[in-house]
Amino acid sequence: MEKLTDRKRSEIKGRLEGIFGPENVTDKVHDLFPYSYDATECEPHMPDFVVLPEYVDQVVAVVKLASESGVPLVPYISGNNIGGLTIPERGGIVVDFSKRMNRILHVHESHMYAILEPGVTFGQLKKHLDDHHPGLRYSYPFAPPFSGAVGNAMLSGMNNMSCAHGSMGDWINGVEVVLHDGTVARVGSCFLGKEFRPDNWHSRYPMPDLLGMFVNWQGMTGIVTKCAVQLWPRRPIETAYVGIAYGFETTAELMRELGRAEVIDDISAVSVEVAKMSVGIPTPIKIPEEPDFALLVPVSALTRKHLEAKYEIIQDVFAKVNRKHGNKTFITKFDTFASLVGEGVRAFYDLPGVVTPLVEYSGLTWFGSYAPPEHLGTLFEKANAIFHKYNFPAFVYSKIMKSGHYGIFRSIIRYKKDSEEDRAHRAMEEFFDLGVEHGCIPYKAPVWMCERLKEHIDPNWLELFKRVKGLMDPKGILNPGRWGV
Amino acid sequence: MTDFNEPQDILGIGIRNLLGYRDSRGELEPLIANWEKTVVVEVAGMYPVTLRFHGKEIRIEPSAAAGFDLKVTMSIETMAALSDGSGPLLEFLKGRVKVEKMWHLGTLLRFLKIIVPALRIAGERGAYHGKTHRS
Amino acid sequence: MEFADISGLSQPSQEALKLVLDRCIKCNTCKYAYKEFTPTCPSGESFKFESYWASGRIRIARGLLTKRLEWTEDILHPIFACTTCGACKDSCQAPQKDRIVDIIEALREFAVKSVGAPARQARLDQLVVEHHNPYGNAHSDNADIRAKYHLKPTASVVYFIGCTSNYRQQRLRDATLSVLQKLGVDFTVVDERCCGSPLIRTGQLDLVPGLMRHNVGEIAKTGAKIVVTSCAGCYRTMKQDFAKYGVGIGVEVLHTTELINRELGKAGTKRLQQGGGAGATTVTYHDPCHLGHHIGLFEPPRDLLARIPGVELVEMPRNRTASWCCGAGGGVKIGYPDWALRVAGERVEEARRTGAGTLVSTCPFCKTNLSDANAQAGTGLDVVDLVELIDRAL
Repeated sequence: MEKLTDRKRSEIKGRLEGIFGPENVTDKVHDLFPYSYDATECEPHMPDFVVLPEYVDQVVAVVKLASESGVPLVPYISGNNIGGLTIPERGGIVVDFSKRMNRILHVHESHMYAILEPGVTFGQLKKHLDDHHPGLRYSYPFAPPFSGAVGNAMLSGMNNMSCAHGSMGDWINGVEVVLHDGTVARVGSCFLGKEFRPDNWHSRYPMPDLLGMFVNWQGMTGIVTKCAVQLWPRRPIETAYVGIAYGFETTAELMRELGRAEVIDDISAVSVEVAKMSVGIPTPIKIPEEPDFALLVPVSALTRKHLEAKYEIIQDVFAKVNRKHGNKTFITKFDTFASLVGEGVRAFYDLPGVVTPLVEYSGLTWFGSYAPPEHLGTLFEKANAIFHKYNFPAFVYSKIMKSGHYGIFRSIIRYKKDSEEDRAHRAMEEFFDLGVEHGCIPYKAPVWMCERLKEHIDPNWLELFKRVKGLMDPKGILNPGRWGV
Repeated sequence: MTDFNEPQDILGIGIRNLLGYRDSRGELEPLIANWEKTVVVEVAGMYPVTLRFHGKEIRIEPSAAAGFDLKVTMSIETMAALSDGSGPLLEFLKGRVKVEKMWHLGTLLRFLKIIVPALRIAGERGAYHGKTHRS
Repeated sequence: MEFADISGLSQPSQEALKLVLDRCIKCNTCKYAYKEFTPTCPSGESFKFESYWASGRIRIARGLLTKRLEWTEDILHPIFACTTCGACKDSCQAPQKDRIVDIIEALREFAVKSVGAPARQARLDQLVVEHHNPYGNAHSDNADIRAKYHLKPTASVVYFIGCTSNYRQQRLRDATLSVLQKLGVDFTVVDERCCGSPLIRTGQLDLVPGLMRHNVGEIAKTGAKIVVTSCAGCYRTMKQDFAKYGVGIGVEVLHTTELINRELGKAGTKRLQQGGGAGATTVTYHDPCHLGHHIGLFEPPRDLLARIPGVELVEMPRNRTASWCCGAGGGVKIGYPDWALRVAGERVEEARRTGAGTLVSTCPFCKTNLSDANAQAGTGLDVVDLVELIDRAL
């Protein structure tokens, strides 16, 4: 977008104030500045305005204004995506949903879904379910509680039930979305009926899956104003175990086998350094005798016997891996582990919460990817070497998703923004190359990563992608610049 | 209060925490007063940790010191069993706690008097129906 | 990278500001009570944009420090429209959590030195210069109080009255004097000046060390071992800020609730009367931020309430680390009086919904603002300081 003239800026501001009310529009530099960058090394860009919508009509009006004036729109909830996804690459209007458009519109007890406005946070949803629907649960990632539940679902985030149920992107039953010209469309089973009804958001199929036009598009094809996410029955027993493992391939195999056993809710493996970070050692150094990974394994059950049976199966998996690799894995109850190692590790289980190692410094960046499970061992080993090369403590985070159909591989760097950013970025470039070499696909990918990814993908996919983008956003106003288009 | 070093390895951190529970209750100081001993604790399959008791100090190091007074080896499962209330004698008789230089019986008994209640505290803190477990 | 010159700021402010370069990813955990997920930040909840939450202010500080932002008149609003209640620090889980208020106060000093304090807050400094108190009342050396209560020049306890109690909430002051006498505490009062709190909170530090040294000198003359105050602001200042600015107070600092609990715990002490002696049966308690969020002193006031036979405490949903500010702190009452009342109004409404007849606090500043909002809302609640209840009950 060309720089706005003073006259144009003033005109747009007046119209925005007419739509949202003057107190919900700002173009003051100090108000814009906090929206200009995030925790990552992604290049900062200032927005021209920030607006705080409350109603769908206001979103429609601002989309029409943007379409008419060619000013970009950037949807924003909390900016916690660790991918620069809310940095306004081409300036424009940041639409901050988390402050006023954050209602939980409906929880359908029997169909087990919640219809959320885009600004709803994980913490808010957790509290609402605990207070009003104690028989239902949502699931939570290792993200701070004030992170957007809808944003995370729309960007295929993961959670603490991912081993059983997969990516959050798969949990979306439907959305209401404002298209580039202000048209409001409902996608999913909620397309039944002329008007919005809270009772028909129960499924995503069997009609053509238009949700694919929006999920993982980083706000480039429409602005979501309602989203129905699946909830799950809360089981009477919820607990967790911790695995400890020596060896990268041993860890990966243990994860795969646990996934295939289909008895656990989730599995998160982290470098052992991370456990030490969470108990007050900010820059841990691993000694050779220490295990390589700690694995958090949440499990839920209907009865005590159900739990015992599951635990027996889990122990069998550990025994099987130990028989093959030579007693290199151990299992204990999470509470025992927390009492031994330190209460700080509880944050990994007690979600939504703050996993303290992630908030140590002013910068946080990662190569986060969906990964082929069979390559996890190699990825762990090579990532470890990259961490050492760039003198950052190892921080690998990995999951097995949907019983092992795919996995998650993430290399995380916490850094000091004003002194370590270049080094962090160089390491990230190597993590990217490593990941792509082994079949990983970055998710919530920042612009620089998408640009590099283009060199590795089917050119016709890219052509199709551009055509869809062109169709959905002919004037290039919807979060432009993402994916370098 | 006991003067600890701050170990940087995962088992050392664990043992530091265990002893810290007792120290915060004021139970540790009388037990280690003038107890000039070197004890090695090895978690089977992992690695040994040396505890050097000296005056009011305890130094915890991630290696097996030569010339130790006592070496105790047990698995992580046995540690968990002790924290859940199983008796050390029973675990020993089952062969789950191995002791080197057992003829230093006084040292062994004193060390068990230090470590077993510490494990129990950890067990109580993270009891089966504790913070994580919801049923 | 070019950095702003902050060498003219106080040492604590320099240290606090440097933290913003290396800390805070803006994870937003500061925005609501940790694990409770309830709103606790009056500034953010009112003005909404990121610049009005703790993490946004840290970004503004970083922007100014790295010269990506310039000083303007406008920028003073997000910097000063904050009650510095410290709810953010109780929610934050990052290493800088205990320094967030320090960072905001340092940012204010940075603002004052760069473009001056906002006009209304700037008056505080002038008033303290002229009258030794921020209200502009004629200074009292408290000789009249010493005479009225027959207080000797030396005693084991100094009651530091504080300007708000001495010049605005005299009922609270008189109740404290009465309680101390009824309990037989060997105490006196001194020729005190402003403790420095309103100036520290608004970034106007020039007078602060002098005020602190004066007060320390006056306390030292009495030979006291304890200084007790009924003002949460004075308490926070004496407990933390004196040392922060290099002035040793040299005595134990107690809030009245701590001292009264201690005295009532002694054998043979007078018992408190049923129902607080004045019909207050169901009460709710507002945690003053300077006692609660800032110091972590949540239980002594509740313990004291529990000592009054027949008084039932009904907690507001947001209590202790999740409590909502009264709206008066951080220079907001003088700087943004209408907004201060709106914040207090939310708290008064929360109190009303508990069904309690009495809203109790332990800070004259909270009492002032909550009473103002209560009068405006007409809830019928009785807003009192805990020490007044104790005085009735003794």
